[in-house]
This record gives sequence, C-alpha cells and structure tokens, in this order.
Amino acid sequence: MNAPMNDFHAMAKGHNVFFYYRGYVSQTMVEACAEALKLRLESAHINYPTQRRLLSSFIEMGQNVVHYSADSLTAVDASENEVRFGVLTICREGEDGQFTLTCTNPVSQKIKDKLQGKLEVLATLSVDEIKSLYRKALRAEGEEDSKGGGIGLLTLARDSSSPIEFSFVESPDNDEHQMFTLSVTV
Amino acid sequence: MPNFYLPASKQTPEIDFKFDENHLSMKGESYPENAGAFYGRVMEELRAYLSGGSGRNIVVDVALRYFNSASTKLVFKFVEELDTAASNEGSIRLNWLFEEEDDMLREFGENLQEDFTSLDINLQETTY
Repeated sequence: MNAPMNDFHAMAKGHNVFFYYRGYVSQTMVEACAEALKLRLESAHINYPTQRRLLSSFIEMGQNVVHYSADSLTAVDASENEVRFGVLTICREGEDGQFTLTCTNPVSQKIKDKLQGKLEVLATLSVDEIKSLYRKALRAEGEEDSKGGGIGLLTLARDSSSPIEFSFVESPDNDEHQMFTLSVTV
Repeated sequence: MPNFYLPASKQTPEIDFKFDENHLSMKGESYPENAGAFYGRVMEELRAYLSGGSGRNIVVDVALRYFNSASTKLVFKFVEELDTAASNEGSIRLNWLFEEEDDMLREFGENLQEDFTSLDINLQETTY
C-alpha cells in the first residue's frame, strides 16, 4: 500500500480538488487539459457562462506558465514550443459551488516588481473599472516584453466573480526566484 | 488575388477568405501559443485584399467560439482594419456570431459596434 499517495488523494478530496497538475507545461498540454475539462463541465451540466469563464481562465493561466515561468526547459527566447514549470489547480466549493482556479510559477525579482504593481491595482478595481481598462488596453500597442498584448491579467480579472488574489513567496529552490500565485473565482 | 484558406486546428480557427466572392470568414477557437505569428499571415492577406480594390460589397463572418487574450487583441485589429477600409468600399457587413448564452462575446460584439461605426456590425446568436 502506498501510504503517502493515499494521504495525498484523501487530502485532495477533502479540499475539493477538481484538477491538479504540477510539473512542466506546454501548449499541447494546455490544449489537451482544456479539452478534457470542457467535456467534464459539459457532462456535469455546468451552465455555459461558467464553463466559458473557467476554460478561458484555465487557458490564460496555463499559457502564462508556458510564456513567463522563470523555470524553463526550453530556450528563454523561444516563441514556439516552450515548456516551463508551474502548478495549476482547480477547486470547487462543494458540489454546486464556485470554482477557484490557481496557478503558481517561479518568477524573477524583476518580473515580481512589475506584476505586483499591476495586480495591486487590479485587485482594488470594480467590474466596471476593469471592463473600461480592458477596452482601453485593446486599443493600446503591445508591451515589449509581453507575448499576449498585455491584456491577459485584465482578462482573468474580468472573468473572475470576486477580486483576483495573488501572493509572492521566496522560492525554496532558487534564491533569485519568487513563487508567484494567482487565484480567480468563476 | 487568389483566395486564402487555412483549415481549423484545435487552437486556431478556420480562415476562409473567398476574395472572388468578397466573402471572408473566421470560424473556430483561437488560442495558439504564438498568436502574433498566426494572425500576422491573416492580416497580411486582409490588407492586400483591402488595398487591391474599392466600391465592393463585402461580407465578413466572425464565428469564434473562444479566443484567448493574445488573440483578442488581433481580432480587434482585424475589425479595425475593416472599419478603416469601409469608407473606400460600397459596404462592409460584419456578422459577429456567438453562442446565445455567451454574455461575454455578446458584450464584446456590442463594444465593437460602439467602437467601429463605419462598419455594419450585425450581432447573431448561434448554437455550436
């Protein structure tokens, strides 16, 4: 009998874990997981707007890991077929409750400083303010170091039913990295 | 110019630009790893078509069930190009299709109507 695995499964069940992945993430994996999640949500008859927000947030988070995690198996300047480390979790509050999506990945100190400023502002905005910023961002030219036109975080914030939550903690494995965690609710 | 066709993949939409019929369509899901590379080609075709004539009655169908944030910006640019060209053409009609329960895509279409007034943007509910 595999005691640690049993503990792990019991704990996951106790915390209503709906989906969990820890490891290296690629675009292909994001696609395959999104497809499986989609079928699962459809067969559970989750309402369409919630399905839509959950899948959208999952793909944004997965692609954020693929594009920005500081732990990369592929060349740092690659723009295709990237593979980077992260943790993606979906928990559900009870059988009919909301879904909380969380992603964690290491980031450099420089990225932390940049993200923290943006997220602190986003976390205080109302839905209408987020939508208005989103519309402005659509017209703005892309940021130089962004691979997504700079509206990924706004999209996550827009789709979340409560303010986004985030944290940075020291990475246990690398002095130069911070573990960045972001959560949304749909 | 020759028509332009790209088949759909799981993460990129079908692109069906029938230039000879003045009918352009984008259909499917859009979340490629590198949205800039995918839409770069699409925009190149669109610009060449729009600059190659005038006074046409153009119909564009956009039926994107889902697009990620990186694609959103490029879809917006696509519509912007059409809007800019509209004064030079007979008419440009954009059919914006969305799943009837998709409040977000409906709102996105409504915002396009507010932002791009030279185009005739028609919101259409559909079932995927």
